[in-house]
Amino acid sequence: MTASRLPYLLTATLLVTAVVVVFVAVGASDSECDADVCGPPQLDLPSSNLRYGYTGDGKPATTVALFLDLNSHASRRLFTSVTQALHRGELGPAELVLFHAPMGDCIDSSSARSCDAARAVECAEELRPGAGVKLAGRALDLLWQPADTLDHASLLDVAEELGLDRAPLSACTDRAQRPDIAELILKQSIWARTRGLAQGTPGGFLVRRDDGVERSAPFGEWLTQVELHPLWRCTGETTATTCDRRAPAP
Amino acid sequence: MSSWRIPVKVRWMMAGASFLLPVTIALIIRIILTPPSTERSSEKAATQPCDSTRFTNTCGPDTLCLAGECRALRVEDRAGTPCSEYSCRGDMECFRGACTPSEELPLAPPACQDSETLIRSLQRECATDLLADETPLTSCSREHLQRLTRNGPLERRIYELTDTFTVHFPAGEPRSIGARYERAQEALIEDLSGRMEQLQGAKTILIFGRASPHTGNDRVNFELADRRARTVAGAVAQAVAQAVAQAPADDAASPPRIIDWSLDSKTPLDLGVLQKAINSPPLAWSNTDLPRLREFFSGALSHDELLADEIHGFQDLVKQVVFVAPLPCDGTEYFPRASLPPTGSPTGQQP
Repeated sequence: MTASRLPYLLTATLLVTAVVVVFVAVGASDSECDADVCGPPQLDLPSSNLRYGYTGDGKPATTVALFLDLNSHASRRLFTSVTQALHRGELGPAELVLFHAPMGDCIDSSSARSCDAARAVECAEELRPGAGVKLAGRALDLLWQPADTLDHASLLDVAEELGLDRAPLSACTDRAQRPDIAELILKQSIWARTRGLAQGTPGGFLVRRDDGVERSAPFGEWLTQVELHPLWRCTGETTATTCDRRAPAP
Repeated sequence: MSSWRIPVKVRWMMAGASFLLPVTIALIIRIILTPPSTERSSEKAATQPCDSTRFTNTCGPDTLCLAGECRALRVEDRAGTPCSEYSCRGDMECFRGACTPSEELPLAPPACQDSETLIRSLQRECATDLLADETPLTSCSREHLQRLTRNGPLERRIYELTDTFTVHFPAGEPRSIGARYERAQEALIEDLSGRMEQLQGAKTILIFGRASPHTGNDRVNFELADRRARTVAGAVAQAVAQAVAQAPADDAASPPRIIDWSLDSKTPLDLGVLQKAINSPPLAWSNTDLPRLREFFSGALSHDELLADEIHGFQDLVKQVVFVAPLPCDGTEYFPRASLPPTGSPTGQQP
């Protein structure tokens, strides 16, 4: 090797140094990539028309996504827990978004009442925006009636009490006439099942948006109203390792 | 230009340096970039990654998946602790201190659900007197109810109950309780058989006579109202006993608790309110003007249509009255909550 080759050697050494430094430094960052640095896993919910509780502009700071079977007491209880917490302001400015997860996905007639109620709720929302979630609540309350009185007519009765016209609602709930509604219910139902929600059981996600970062937490029918606020608080925290369910209300 | 040769040893040293230098620099940079927090390291050990976009809980019992990390849920409830309204899971509701499956709850009949406020008020007052936490309506005495309904809103709530009906009396009748009125009593029992569905299905029957204010002597009026209430209570008890005796043995249910009392209210009855509140046709004792009373309670005869000089006479006809309120519950049943709070927008929301 001659002295004339020295600059080439030095340049090559510097290039190798740069490549190795970049590789190792980036590697260092990658190996530490977690929820704090790269952001938590993003939840890609299906579309829904049924929203309740938030009338502000833009996205609310908290969204509670509920997947329900409208013929199940466990769904009724979970729905009640969320609506009560919203009314008491325990979740801050928050929105409830409702999805369908009826037994049997409404493909056959195995859970006719769940599906009839799901279709009626979608139709009510279409006829009068805001009426869908209200009808869902009334449909869940009908579960307290004797089982033999839970039919299409009783659903139409409570819809009428909410100020909806019987005839267009009844026509809209006809599956043959509105395949788009049946398809929406099926899509939501399949989405829930592919993410591990057991058939006929309710579940949901609590989503918090802080400083542009979305953090979500799934829950099932096990969630009680006393646990909802600690779950909401913990979802917004990045450092705590324990969720204390006895945390005081804000 | 003369060439200058690098010795072999130096060449090997330079080759070694060209390999070690970048690695050394990279290691130094990596050490600088890596957060040195030991606290964070211990936290990492405590949290396990999980998929917070799935319902399936891979974190284990009493642990939640929050934003991609498992977090312990500290549960402080102990087995055997009485539940609260909001602490039961799944399809269970807290009933008499225990989480109970919804299908097993003894539901209050719709007529009682509509009157929960009244039933709870009466229960609460009776429980306070009996020094109990919770008491069925059947534990209330006539003295309790007499005190609670005197000059209070509870009186009106009782005649607003779904199945409440009235029994009207001619002025001053009955003058006594006994054989003198046997025929009138039998006629009333006969009339009551038409109300047997409500009476026999009741757990509690509230019966109260109302003394007419502003006429006669307070004591005499009160005693008259008391006689009327006892007369109707006796007729109701006999009518129910007869119906039970005629029913098949399998259908035998425990007889309703009848509580009767009289009320020396100083407030005159509001005919308009009464007409609106009571939906069942009235009954009458003896020769009271029943057709006209029926016309009034059916709404065919409007209170507003009564001529001024008629109102006074009509008020006299209506106010000689006993109220009978059959309740198919005693307050110990489960009263469901509405899934959606009835009115108003949630608090903490933007307008």
